[in-house]
Amino acid sequence: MTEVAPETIWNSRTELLRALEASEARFHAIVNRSADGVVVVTVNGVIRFVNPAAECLLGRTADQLLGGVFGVPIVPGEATEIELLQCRGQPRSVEMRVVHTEWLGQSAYLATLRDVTERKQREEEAREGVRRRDEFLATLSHELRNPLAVVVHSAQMLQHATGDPSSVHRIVEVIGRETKLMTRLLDDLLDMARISRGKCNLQRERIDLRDVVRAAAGAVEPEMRKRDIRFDVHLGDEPLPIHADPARLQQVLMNLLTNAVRYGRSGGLARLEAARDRTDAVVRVSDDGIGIAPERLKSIFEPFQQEEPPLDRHGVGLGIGLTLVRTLVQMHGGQATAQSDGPGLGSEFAVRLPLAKDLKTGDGASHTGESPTAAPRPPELRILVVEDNNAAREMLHALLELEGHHVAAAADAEAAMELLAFQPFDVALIDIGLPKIDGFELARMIRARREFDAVFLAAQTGYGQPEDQRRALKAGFDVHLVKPLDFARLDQILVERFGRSGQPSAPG
Amino acid sequence: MPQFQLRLFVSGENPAHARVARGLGHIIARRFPDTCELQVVDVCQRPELAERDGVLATPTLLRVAPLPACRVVGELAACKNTLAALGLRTGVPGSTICTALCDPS
Repeated sequence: MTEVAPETIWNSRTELLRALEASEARFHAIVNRSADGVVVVTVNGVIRFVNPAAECLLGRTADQLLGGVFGVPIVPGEATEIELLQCRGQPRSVEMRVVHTEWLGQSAYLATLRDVTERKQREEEAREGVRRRDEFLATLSHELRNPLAVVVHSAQMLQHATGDPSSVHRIVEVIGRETKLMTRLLDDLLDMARISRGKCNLQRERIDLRDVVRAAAGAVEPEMRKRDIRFDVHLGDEPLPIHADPARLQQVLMNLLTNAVRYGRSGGLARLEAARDRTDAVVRVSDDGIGIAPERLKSIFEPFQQEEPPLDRHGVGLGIGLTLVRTLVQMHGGQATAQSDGPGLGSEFAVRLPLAKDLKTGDGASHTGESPTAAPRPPELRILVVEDNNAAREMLHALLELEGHHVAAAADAEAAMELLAFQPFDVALIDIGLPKIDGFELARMIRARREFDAVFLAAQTGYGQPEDQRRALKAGFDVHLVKPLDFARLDQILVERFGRSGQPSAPG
Repeated sequence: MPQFQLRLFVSGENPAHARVARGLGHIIARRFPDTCELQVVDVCQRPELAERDGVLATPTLLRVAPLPACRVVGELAACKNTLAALGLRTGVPGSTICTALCDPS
């Protein structure tokens, strides 16, 4: 056996101690910086160690905690959720995991505590969102069913109408009113969907806000009269030039005014006012109707929050109108606010929009966009509709005929080719998703034949991705349109190609 | 006076805690109707009771009697685990409540 010098032993002992200290320091650094709380408890549940994160979660200092009783942690699976009670403030939800360990030679539990309060709140919000959506869908089907029932009933009545023109007229009027209501519901819905997917672009132009207000007032005036509401409109003489999408703003105002009709008091008063407030234009819509309870006021612009409808359920909406208002106004860089003194005390909605900086052209605003009524119309055209869905085909057929065109329709590519062979067409409106031979292939077949060169080919799909557009153009289409067909856009395209109604049409 | 006195601390609005309370109450009523008493404390309603007993988390089950007092924290919801925590199943080491309830001598 070799002798070992005492100082060698001493040295290696010191090194060992140093290594141990270093290791311990590393351990401490890791545990102390951990974002998760770490608690070590004995088999009796007595606290032996807490890291700073645990002190924070428990809302107490290590001095207060050490030697106290936490309890024996029971976690049968991987983790369990508990609530930590802080001295002050809200309890925190934490996820607890437990492993067996040793502490100073004794068997112990090491529990890690991860704060999941925020995550739980988000989950709760998500659940609430789903609940509201379900409720909304229920309302939606109900709201669509009501006018639909009226329309169906009216159609039946028409079938049995004895030819008395006044009763037929009345029924047609009812159908018109109810379909308008349904259209508005669906429009709001589509807009909401478009906005929430970020697909709504503003077509901004310089306009006088008063023109939009005037148009909206004119549109809602008959409704006001029907409900016997006095309707005061104050516009002032000063132009209110803003940089905005007139169609969207009109939508905003229509929503607010329709609310004033719906929730206003029969025989009461509604006011519409547009005025300048320093660098903003402000539109106010107020009524003296059912008003808004204070607790509802703060969430009135949230989706699917709807004021209790009046008992007669006169024109109940879906609860997305005001969300649409707020979103559209915000997209314009403005603000929408609601104000009410309480139930029965009426309400006031205000839309605040920044005035356009350059005030020079304030009086002549209409040189940019063209109003819908003045939109140019294409001449009468011979249009072939290719669509496999019966309802959609018949609908398009009817609508295009109403626009004054000569229409023929085919349900598939073969029938389309036959029709094309027997009669000349100016335009073929082709659905891409056709059975057997799809729209792309049909376009290629048409383009392969010289005699059809002049036919203007429009693709119709449910998808508006750039890739779909490219594919359509590559297959030989002249233009790619997204369903549902926007007739204004179709008119515009046809005017570009065939000229305006009343002018000689372009060769084709 | 029942031999065993248990006190369960729960957060009133938490549905999982309500389940724990129901489950425990059920088991005790069925298995130990005379020997065991369960008091359920909602810490939202009675924060002072939680403070008095130094309860740091919910759900916490406290054995008040017989002494020494002891407590468990965590997953008491599932019926099987509740039974285990009460000592009606063996093999849960370290839980004094279990051994005490298992072997009420």
